[in-house]
Amino acid sequence: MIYLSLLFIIPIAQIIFINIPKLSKANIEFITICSTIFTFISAVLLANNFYAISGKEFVLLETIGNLRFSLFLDKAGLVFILLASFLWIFASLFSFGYMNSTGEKDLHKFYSFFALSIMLTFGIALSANLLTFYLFYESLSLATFPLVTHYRNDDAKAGGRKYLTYLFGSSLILSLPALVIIYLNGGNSSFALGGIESLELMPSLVVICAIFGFSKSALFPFHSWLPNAMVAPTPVSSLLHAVAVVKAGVFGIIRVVGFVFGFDYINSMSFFGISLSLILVIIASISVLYPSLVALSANNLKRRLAFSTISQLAYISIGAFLLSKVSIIAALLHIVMHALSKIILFFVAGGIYVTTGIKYISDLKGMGRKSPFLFIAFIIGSFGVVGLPISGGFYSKFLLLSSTINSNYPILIWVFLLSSVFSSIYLFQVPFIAFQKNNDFQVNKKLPFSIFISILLVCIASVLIFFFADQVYYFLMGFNEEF
Amino acid sequence: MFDIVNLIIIPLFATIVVRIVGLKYRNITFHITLFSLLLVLFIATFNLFNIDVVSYVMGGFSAYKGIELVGSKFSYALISAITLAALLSLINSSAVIDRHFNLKKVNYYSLYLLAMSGFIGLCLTNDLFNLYVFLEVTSLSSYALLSLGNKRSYLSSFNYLLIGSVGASFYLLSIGYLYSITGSLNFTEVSNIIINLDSSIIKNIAFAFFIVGIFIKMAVFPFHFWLPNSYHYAINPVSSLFASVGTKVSAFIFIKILLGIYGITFITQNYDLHLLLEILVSLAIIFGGCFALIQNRIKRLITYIIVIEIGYIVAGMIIGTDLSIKASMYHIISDVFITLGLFLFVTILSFIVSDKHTVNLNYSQLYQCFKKSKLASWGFIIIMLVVIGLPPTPGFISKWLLLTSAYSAESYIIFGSLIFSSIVTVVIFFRILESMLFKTEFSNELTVRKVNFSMVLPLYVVIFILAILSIYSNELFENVINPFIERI
Repeated sequence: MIYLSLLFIIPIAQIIFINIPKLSKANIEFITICSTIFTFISAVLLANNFYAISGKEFVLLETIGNLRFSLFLDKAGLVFILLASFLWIFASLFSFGYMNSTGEKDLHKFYSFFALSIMLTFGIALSANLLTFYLFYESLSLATFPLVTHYRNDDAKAGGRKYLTYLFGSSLILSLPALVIIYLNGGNSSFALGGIESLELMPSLVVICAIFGFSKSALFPFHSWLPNAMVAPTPVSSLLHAVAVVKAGVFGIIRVVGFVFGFDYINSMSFFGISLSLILVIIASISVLYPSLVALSANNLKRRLAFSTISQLAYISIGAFLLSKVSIIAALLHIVMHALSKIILFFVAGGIYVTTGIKYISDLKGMGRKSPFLFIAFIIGSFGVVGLPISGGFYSKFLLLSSTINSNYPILIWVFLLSSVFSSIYLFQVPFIAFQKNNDFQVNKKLPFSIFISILLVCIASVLIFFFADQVYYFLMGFNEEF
Repeated sequence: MFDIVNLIIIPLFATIVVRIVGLKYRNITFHITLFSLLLVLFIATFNLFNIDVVSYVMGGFSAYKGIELVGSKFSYALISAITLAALLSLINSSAVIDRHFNLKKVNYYSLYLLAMSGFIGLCLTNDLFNLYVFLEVTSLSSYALLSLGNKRSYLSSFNYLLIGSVGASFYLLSIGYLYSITGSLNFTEVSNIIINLDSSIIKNIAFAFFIVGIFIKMAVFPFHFWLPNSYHYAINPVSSLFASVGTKVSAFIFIKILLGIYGITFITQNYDLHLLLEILVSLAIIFGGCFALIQNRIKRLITYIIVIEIGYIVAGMIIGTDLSIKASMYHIISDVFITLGLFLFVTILSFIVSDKHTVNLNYSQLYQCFKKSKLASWGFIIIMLVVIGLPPTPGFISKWLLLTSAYSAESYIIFGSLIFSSIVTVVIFFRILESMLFKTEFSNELTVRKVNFSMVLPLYVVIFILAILSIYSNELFENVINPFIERI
């Protein structure tokens, strides 16, 4: 219990400390980095004591009508917490360099909301039932809004408006009614792998609403907030819009499909005579392929990465919709692997912007020869996203492919292969352009040390995960036996 | 230890004291008001934690002939809530009153106390006619107080006077009909008699008159039009008192008569009536939301939020399941503080942007406020989070219980309108958030004053109480609301 509460206490303490008036920038950064490291340590301690804590439910608030908010720890949640707290360290390191060199003011606000968002992400990972999940999920949308609109200009206003419209619109119109119906039909008990037992049969529309209500997962009709949210500073895009927020969305889908309804329940459903899982898989396939095509034509680097994220998120959703335990594990693994590699790509995009002020890919010509480090890191990140060996992405994609073959829809393998081709084109194009010869190219500034070290460390981590991926896999495999 | 009649006597007595003392010493009237309200608050909270249902007979006449007061845990809780609300808006408003209405101060405070004694009487009385008397006491003092303000406030207060009197007359007619068939005015006796009259037409007519009268007082949809005008044009402290206390006490009367005399089955088993009321309350919520959405002025927007919130309370009663009634009773108490918080913020905001006591507050002024007083703006954002029903705030608890009970009772109209109002309030919230964060072209036109901490403090007291209401909601349901419903 103490480790669980530490995950909330440390970020809150950080928020309180850095809001002390007239604190110098160095002190704010020191407090922030200490807080991130302590949080990661407490997440590791949580993992060490996993078997003592897991399975217990910690009730936060309980009132009439079986209205209960409670936390619990399971393996899926633990993996998510470890991932978020680990990457938070590097995202903070990165943002020190980034925010200083772009001359940002009001840093205490920025770091406060950053810490708050990460804390709420832990809450999402630890939620024991749908209502608690909803609590943290909605709060996360609100807490990230000041970060998305950090620049306070017209673009930020438009992006922020779209952000909130999509996230809150879908969750109020789709999630909330679905939640009420699920809750009334016995869905108010804790998440359990294979579905809540006492769940009564509901119309399949409820399942669809519940799944698409998580528009943070950027599934096809509700994906366009993500490219617009790229108006945020790059540290926000890197951690929140590649790791915390969007992964909270797909994590919600995994929870709903695997832990509320269960595989057999959804398998038995049909929507207007068509099997429900087929519909879900088709929509997810569209959101794999369509954004890949858009990404091919996007010239803005962050926008291209955003569309790539949408496409990769749909992989995770497909993993959930294939309705088998292996595919769910593949989806969870892909959350980890994709986060580790996508954050590198965003860091590099930020590094390019800091050193040269370039946002567009076509302007990069010749930059690779001046600062090769950034583009080698970009290649390592691209390996992970495309799913080539020497990066963890290989395993998760491999598992997804193999579970596809065993599923009812082996044709999905072509979707995956096609999108891999697309993603390798649109990602490797960037270093390809950058390494072309262009003697006129000038790099204005030196890469800040904190950006360099954060990119380096995450690169090392994303290569190391290739060798230790089996540990994660076996840990997650164990979660079948337990329930 | 403390007779419940003290709760009414103290403010009533203080009204006279304030009036007399004020002839000579105008400046201590505030302290007398403060002290008497503190005393009431102390007694009410003491009773809340220490005694259960108590009956008090005025003047020693037996309950069925004389006037009976009945105090239950819920009425103590409501009295504590409204007295606290009155106290906070009193503290918040004293600067404004000193500045702009120094000569009218004595009248102001005595009317304030008179209104409070009326409200407390409404919560306690167990007698139909006595209830009418207290209703008139509060109404008369509210007409006088609401006319403080700019020139429009006279007109809107007069408007309210006409409509309010019509409402009170309807209520009086309803009492007359009830008296004609039961021969009694005591709640308990009337309900004992009326239960045996299965299908008396007079009983139904009395109910119709009662519903119309009380809906006018509560400002439920077709009868809501007096509320935005009179609360908008009145000065802030007055509107913050009546908005947070007045409509909520009327809602409590509605619950008391509906549950205590007719019984909830009277509406749930009558299909046509139930459908009519369902449609009415859904329209109340939907129209309240639509009107709130198109407002440009903050204070007017907040008055429409009250219309929506009242819609929630009535919706809980109309749905008529055990859970929904509890939810609407819980919402009465939490809504006192939600409305109070909103109006306290309006007071701060108008203090920041203007020297005058009435000012049109636009969205664009929120930017100034956010720059000048971070604390107040954050307080407003937190209160708005309660309004939109972010879990686990009290707003969410009552909305969730209403949603689930509406769905399980198959009141899909109400279910839909609740979802609609959630969306509308969220849109309003975003608009507020956006105008706080982003500069507009109008933002720099105003002179801006700095607020001191004592103005912001009441706002945070309200937030603290809302947090308590959320954390101890289970205790509130178990120990306060449940006994009330079971007794009736």
